[in-house]
Amino acid sequence: MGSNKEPNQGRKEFIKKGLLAGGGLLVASELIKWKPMIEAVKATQHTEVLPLVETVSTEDVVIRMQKELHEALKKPVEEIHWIMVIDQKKCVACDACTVGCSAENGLPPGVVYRPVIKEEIGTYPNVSRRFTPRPCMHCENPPCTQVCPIGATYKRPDGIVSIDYDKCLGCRYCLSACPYGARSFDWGEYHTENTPEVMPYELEPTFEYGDEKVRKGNKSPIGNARKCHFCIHRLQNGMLPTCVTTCIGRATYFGDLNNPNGLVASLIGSPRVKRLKEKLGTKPSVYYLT
Amino acid sequence: MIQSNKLWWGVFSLLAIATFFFMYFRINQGLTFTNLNNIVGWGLWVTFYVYFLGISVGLFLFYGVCNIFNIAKFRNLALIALYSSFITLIVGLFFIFIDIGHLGRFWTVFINRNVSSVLSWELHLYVIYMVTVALLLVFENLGIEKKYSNTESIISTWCNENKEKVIKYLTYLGIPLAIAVHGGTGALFAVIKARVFWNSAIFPVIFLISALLSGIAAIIFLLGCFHNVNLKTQYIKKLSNIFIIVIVLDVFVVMTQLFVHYYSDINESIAVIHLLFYGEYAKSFWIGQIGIGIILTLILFAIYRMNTKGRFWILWLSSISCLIGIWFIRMNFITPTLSVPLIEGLSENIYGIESTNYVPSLMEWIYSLFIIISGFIVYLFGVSHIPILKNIIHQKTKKGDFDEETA
Ligand code: SF4
Ligand code: SF4
Repeated sequence: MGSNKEPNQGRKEFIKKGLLAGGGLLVASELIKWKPMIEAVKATQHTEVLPLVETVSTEDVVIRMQKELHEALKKPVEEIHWIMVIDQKKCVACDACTVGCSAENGLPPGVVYRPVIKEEIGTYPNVSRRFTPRPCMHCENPPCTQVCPIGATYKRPDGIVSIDYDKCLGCRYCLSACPYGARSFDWGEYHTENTPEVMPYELEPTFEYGDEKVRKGNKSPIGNARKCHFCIHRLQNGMLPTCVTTCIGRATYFGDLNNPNGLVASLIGSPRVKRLKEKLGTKPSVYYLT
Repeated sequence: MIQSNKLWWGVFSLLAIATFFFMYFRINQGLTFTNLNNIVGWGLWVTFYVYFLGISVGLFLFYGVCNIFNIAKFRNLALIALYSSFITLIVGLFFIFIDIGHLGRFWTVFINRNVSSVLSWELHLYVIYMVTVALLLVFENLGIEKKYSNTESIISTWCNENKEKVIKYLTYLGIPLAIAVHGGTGALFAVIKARVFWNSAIFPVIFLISALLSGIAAIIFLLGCFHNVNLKTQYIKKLSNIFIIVIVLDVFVVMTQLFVHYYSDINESIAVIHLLFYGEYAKSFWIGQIGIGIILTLILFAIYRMNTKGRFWILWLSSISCLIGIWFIRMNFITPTLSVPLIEGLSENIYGIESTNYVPSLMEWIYSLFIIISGFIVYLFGVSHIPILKNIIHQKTKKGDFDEETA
């Protein structure tokens, strides 16, 4: 009997193996078809990130400007050309630069070295705002120095237009001549003048142009023309101008135009760049990115 | 005229004390009591400076022309003009002096020169011009009174001998100097490319013509004040002819300036014109410059000319109204230009106001009046003490004054 069953058994086995082999083949063939796709999926899960190009800096622009400032200060002064670049799209009109500057230079009422001009553009509903911080442009061809009867205001070799407070007469001719309204006159007023007491902070010394001066009793800078000086006293000590460090939008850049690899030189090679009232031929050293 | 020296001592002592207090206050307070600000930085005092300088130049040119062409009939008037020109020049200098921030540094303009600065040139020329006028005044007085000419030094003998020649050459020097000084004042504004309204070639010309006009108006005014200079009516008519010609010229150049800027319609300059025509300076323009300066002057002038008797006092009033009008021209061409903001939105940002209307403060007026009154006192002193002027005052109308042969 046992032998009778054998052929049956053998056939079942054969069918089973056949089915198995067929199924296996089917799976194998499917597997062959899916493999590239699976590998592709695997590949996306393990993308290899290339290392950054070395020339791209990851540090904060202020740190970079600080480093470049130190580099520039090693050069002879006539090889430097300080410029400022202001990105109007980044400016948020917080006035931090205006306030910082006023505190740094102890500015009296009405004397503002760096106002931020705020304009509304368009008509509702198509409106936007434009902010234009306006320091002294430190023109390459400054009309203000040209008209000063005694040469009390002059262009330094590093491009900064400065004022000699001990020389200036206070004739205010330069105030009329500056096309940017960048100059003010110190009329001798105090913010806390009509209060019981002029606050001591208004009588603290300031250090413009590296000289210690106290605004008191009609002594300079009272009775002088005053304006932004790119914080010469800070530059001399390796610090950036106050407005640059206080700018929360990182909209103000400062550096040496004569450094072709520097930040400011790279920024002004842009179609967005413009200077104010260029047709007057003043060649401002302050550039705007619009 | 007061002759007593004691009285003059008293007057000058009082004046010195008053000056001391005024200067003390000015130095102590700085310029805080003025209404000037960082937008309109030049105001009343600069206007007066330009105004008096203009009168001085006009008067001097009158003297110069009379001298060079030897017009004898105007000789006395010319001498008065020379002296008045000197005093107005000093008055002008005081105005610019009190306007600057550091009075004590004023003299440094003569050691720290800046060749590219019109103001530097202007101040140098101003001083040279003043010295020339002073020298002319000295030479004109030489040999008039014995006590001034009895010193027999070589210099005084030489001066006495060469008086005429020196006066002639000094006049030749003085005329271009006077033109340069006042043209220079106009150029002071005209070279400012930041201010479109000033930045025109006609600006210095306006200043010069206005100076001529103020000179001739001042001559007529002085003629009315010095009764002893009796000019024959026909000569007064001649003067009035010059007066009207210069008025027409002045109106022409002023209108050219306004027309060109109005027509060009450039933002900054049209803004100045708007301020003048119907803005904050409209009163000063329509009433002062046009109403008094042109219309009233012309009406009075016309009445004078139409009146067959040609009453002099009407012409005299016309000259006063013209002098007032010229002051307004000066004012209107200086401060409104400064009132227009250089960059849109700038003054709003700093001061919270769109444009700045400058109205002189009371103290500015008080200082101005003080300078003018002081100048007037010094003027009177000179009139009663300077030989040539004393002569004019004390003379009876002499026949020689009206000789026409030298004309
Ligand atoms: S912006 Fe004005 S103050 Fe500054 S350098 Fe130019 S002309 Fe002079
Ligand atoms: S105010 Fe001072 S710096 Fe300006 S022009 Fe006069 S003297 Fe020169």
